[in-house]
Amino acid sequence: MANTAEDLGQRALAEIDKLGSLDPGWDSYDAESIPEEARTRARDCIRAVISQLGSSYADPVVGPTATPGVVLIWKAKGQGEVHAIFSRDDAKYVVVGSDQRIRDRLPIHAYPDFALQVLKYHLSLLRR
Amino acid sequence: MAIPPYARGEEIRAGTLYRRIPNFRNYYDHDLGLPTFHAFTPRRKDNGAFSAHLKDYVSEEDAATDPKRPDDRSYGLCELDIADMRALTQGAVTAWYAPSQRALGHAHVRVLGCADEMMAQAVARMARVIRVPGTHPSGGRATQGRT
Repeated sequence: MANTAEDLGQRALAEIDKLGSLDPGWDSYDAESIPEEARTRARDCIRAVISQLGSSYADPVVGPTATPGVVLIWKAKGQGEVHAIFSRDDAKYVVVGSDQRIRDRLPIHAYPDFALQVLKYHLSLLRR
Repeated sequence: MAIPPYARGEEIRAGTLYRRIPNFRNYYDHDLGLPTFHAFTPRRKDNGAFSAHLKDYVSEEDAATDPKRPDDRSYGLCELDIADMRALTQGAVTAWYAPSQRALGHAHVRVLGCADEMMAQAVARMARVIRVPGTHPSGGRATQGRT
């Protein structure tokens, strides 16, 4: 049975929640625990992306960062990817091209704008 | 145990470094067979520096082991050529000897210049993967929250 957008979104949200259980030093190099503020930002972003773009964007790779924070990665199947990175204090995105070079990196100010103007735009370009 | 011939705080211009790769999908791209820039992005409070160890002064097995969780065999390991790293980043990414009292501290190096994702990505692209995360022959797996 195919997953619905809601199911996929729930999986990403659950993975974000799970990052809260990582102990300090989870990366073997003294990374701190993932702060609740960063997880909240990531959850808010997922909800905005699903609301704006629907099911095909509902299942990014979810992972921890040493900053510390959370990253959501949307991949365009060998054509590059968009990383949304959330810390205790802010959010930003990084676009990586199929040549593995970073094409763009800027702050995220509003998640609906990120969904429509960054994620949809860049993934459609990368998929061409 | 051999001690590296560097003074504390001395820049190291040649040699090879080991860096562990945590077993999370955002740290290693299994399609490309390369670590991502997240594997070389330092903690914010470290002012752009990440830790690594001099290959000639530690074993591969020790370098791939979390000293605080030695039973966790899920870590990957990569090599970084110091001269190449410096040259490819036009001197923006550099390695400095920083010995400590911790495990493998005699071989500890701080790599500066990777707060910028551009530089961390440049390092990721030149990394030589020795051990893919999650594939240790023991079959050991992560103990928490890994993807």
